[in-house]
Amino acid sequence: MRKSRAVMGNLLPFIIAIIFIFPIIWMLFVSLKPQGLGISNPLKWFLPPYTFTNYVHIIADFQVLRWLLNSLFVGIVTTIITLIVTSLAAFAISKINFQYKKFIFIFFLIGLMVPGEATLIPLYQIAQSMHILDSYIGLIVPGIASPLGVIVLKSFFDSVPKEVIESARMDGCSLFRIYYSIVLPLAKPALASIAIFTFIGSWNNFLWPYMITFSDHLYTLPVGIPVFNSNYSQDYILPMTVNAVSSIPLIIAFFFFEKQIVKGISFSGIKG
Amino acid sequence: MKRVFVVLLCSIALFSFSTACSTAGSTSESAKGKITLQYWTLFGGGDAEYMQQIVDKFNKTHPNIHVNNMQLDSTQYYTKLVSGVAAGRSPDVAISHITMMPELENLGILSPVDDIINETKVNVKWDDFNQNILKSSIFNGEHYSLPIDTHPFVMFYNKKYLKEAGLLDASGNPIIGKGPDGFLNFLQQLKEKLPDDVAPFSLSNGGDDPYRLWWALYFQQGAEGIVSKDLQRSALDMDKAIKAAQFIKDLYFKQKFIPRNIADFYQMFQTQKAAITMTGVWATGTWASTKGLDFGAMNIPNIFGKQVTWGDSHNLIFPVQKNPDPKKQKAALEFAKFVEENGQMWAQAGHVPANTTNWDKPDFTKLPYRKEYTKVASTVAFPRQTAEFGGIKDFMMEDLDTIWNGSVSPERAFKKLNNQINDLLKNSILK
Amino acid sequence: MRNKRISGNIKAIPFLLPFFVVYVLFTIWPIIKGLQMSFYDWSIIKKIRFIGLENYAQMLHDPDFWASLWHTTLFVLFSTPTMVILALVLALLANKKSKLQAFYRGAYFLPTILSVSVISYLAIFMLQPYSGFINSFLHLIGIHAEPFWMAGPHLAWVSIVGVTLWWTVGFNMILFLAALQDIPDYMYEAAKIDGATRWQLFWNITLPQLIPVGRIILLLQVLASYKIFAQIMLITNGGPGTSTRPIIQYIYQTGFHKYNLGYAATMSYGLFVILLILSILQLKGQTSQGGES
Repeated sequence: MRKSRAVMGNLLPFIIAIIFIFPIIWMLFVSLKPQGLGISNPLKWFLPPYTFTNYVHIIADFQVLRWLLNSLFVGIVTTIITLIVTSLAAFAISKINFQYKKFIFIFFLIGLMVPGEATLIPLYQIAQSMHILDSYIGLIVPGIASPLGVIVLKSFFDSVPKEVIESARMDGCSLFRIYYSIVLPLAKPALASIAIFTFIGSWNNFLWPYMITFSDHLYTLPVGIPVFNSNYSQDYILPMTVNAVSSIPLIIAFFFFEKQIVKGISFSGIKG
Repeated sequence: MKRVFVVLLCSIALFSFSTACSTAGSTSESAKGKITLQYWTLFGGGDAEYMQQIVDKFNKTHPNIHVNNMQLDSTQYYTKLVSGVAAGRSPDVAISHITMMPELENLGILSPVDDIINETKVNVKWDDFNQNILKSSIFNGEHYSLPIDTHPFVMFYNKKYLKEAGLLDASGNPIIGKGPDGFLNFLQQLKEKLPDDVAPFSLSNGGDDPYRLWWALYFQQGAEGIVSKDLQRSALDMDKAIKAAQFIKDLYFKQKFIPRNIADFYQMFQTQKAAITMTGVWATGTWASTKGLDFGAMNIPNIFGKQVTWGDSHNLIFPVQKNPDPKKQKAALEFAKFVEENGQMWAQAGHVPANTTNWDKPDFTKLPYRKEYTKVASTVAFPRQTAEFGGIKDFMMEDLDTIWNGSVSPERAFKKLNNQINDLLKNSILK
Repeated sequence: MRNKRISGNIKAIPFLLPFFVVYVLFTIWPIIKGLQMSFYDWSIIKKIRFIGLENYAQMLHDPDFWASLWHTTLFVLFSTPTMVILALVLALLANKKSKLQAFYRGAYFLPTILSVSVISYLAIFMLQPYSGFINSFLHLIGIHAEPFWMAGPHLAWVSIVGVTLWWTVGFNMILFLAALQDIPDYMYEAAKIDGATRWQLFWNITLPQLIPVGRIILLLQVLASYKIFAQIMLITNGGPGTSTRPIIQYIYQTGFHKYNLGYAATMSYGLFVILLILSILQLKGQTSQGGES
């Protein structure tokens, strides 16, 4: 009884883990199959022959790599700018005395209540009148306007003791210097957490880039993959290769940075 | 480790930025002498390949013009076209179905071709076109497009299976009795004689193709149309609509001639797992190049009285430009003429060229079935020219899908559709 | 004093300005603009006509609006509890001491990093009838059923919830995991000395300690589930018929297929109000409960 329980206890997490990664493994195997192969026995997907020609074909003849780079570019730039502007604003609210501070903080809090999806239609009109549709700016800028980072960072900055700031002031440090060399380094875990959330949000953003891109060289992956598949899906193999090409860099990055990612996410839970 | 990561990020950012700039650079470079045209298309599969061949040939023979063929997702195509024009990103030339042109015209997307002809002095011989199609591309007496084809809905059959079942006559045509019983009988005989893993009939369980079949059967009964003549109300003929839908629904559920929810019904016919299928003529090219598939094509059977089918027509349109450039307009019109005149290339996909001068070319006459197709093309029931057709079609397909999956009865589905059409025509933003 | 304040204002401006500008332009202005648009017949080609409250009247009588709102709510009702409970179970499994602990954590989380389009097409190809992996696997092990995962209205929902679960549950798991690791060991030690069984340990120590983070996950999950759109659009496109169409898709279609931006903005406002009420209710529930304990 006890033994069977122990086996169950070890087996269950293992089986679930296999179920979770199985579709990804399957995708990788399918992408290695010669094109046009029809397969009725599902186990045959995993057996040879293998070939890399699909990858060569996808990377050489289509824009998939370009879309991958677009996604990375938009994600990275959005993340970097978000970190800069939100930490600057949070610093001002936390550490500088100015009029209407409370009012401005509440004004930022309002933004938390607004789900981005509910303002997409007017946002599109605004972007159109600003002539930033179908451009990198249009892809990036609306993504940095979330006040969540300001609020998280503000509460983090608040915990930096006043004395530290004041003694630095005494030594003649400028405000920017204090922000850059004292407060920011202390806030690293919070910054990492915001960076991860912003990047994942941008990486998975579907509707906005879908609405505003018209040129295929500006597509991000979530937008490009459906267009590719609707035009070229004759079988499983090419779509799965496209899926694999767009996932492999992320999977590799995940293996390298798993600890940091997990830390960043758990940080937000404790804070919240 | 961290440093490696930072370097990696920066290089990715730099690299993507440089590629972004390089494409921007290439377009500005072309301004020096070479004209680059943006051409938006909605083709997939075989169509996409043949259209790319035409574009490649044009680019090769016209050193001063480069046509950039951008293939968009067909399900979102008109959304992209309309919002693209509204956003000032109009393509120079684009494909439109003739049934969608009233909507585009109403939205102010289309520029009249006559104006461009007057300005550019490119000669277009309107007399060469199939007049039936040409008529539908004219609004308020002005041409808005160059039609390139008609593509009717037809039936394809696997000759091997029909022969084995004794359903081919001496000249190789299928033996199908008259009326609904004749067609059901034909399928029943197939079902009895086919191998176990081969279905009599392959058709998708939703979306476009069962809708097209329904359209054909609805009009075969002599129905007038979907909207009234004055385009103000629904004119859905309930009895005929229900009769047509019930007939198709029974093929899935009652007689089970069509297996339900086939993932890819083209592939099923292509890999010889089905004896017949019905879809647009555009599938012809793909199947002709499939090894071992011996197939025939014909008008869909006359089941309910009139020999009528579904069909549509691809047209080249010239979306409105913010700052029209006469040089580009001229180049776009030249390209459109080139596509017209190379209708025999487009016909390889299966389409019937709208420019009838193509019909006598040896490259066209040597293609099988195409002569039959030119006749079928004249039996197409086109919808009335309402700007709401796109919206109505969305509703029709949604409601029909609920019939095909068995969740809603035809009576209820069409009642709903009737209300939806009336509401749409009443509350329309397109006025 | 006054001077100091003014100098504070001047010093604060360069820090505040960058965020303030983007925030006003892309978060606040759209709220106002949306309200304005909702009073107009506003087509995408900008034929604009003031119609007062007509859009709102139309919304209240639009069965498709209510149906798609109901679909989204249905998804929230099904996905939220399963998402929270499965995340907790996975966190408990991944927290057990085992040689494979790191592997388990990685495996449960891995799907989360995939793009929504990737997981959607994976789902489409695995769930296809006849030749899809899952059905052909069923046939292989001798089950000759042919479930239509994406074509039956009920089964389509099961598939969408299942796929979303697989895709995003790892995120919640990590949050639970972090909270689990924060429970101090001495609490367990003390209880063990008192002779508590494993079940009692879980019930009396682990679970109560997880409640605060559980609440946060619940709130985040409800809000996230209300935004469901992309995977439905890619997997079933709202079908069969419109039986799985969520509200965001209906808003998108109204704006970009029917070109009626005014009415789309009106429905966005409807959704906005609902989400606002929900988050206020939850915040209220949270604070009042927090007060009791």
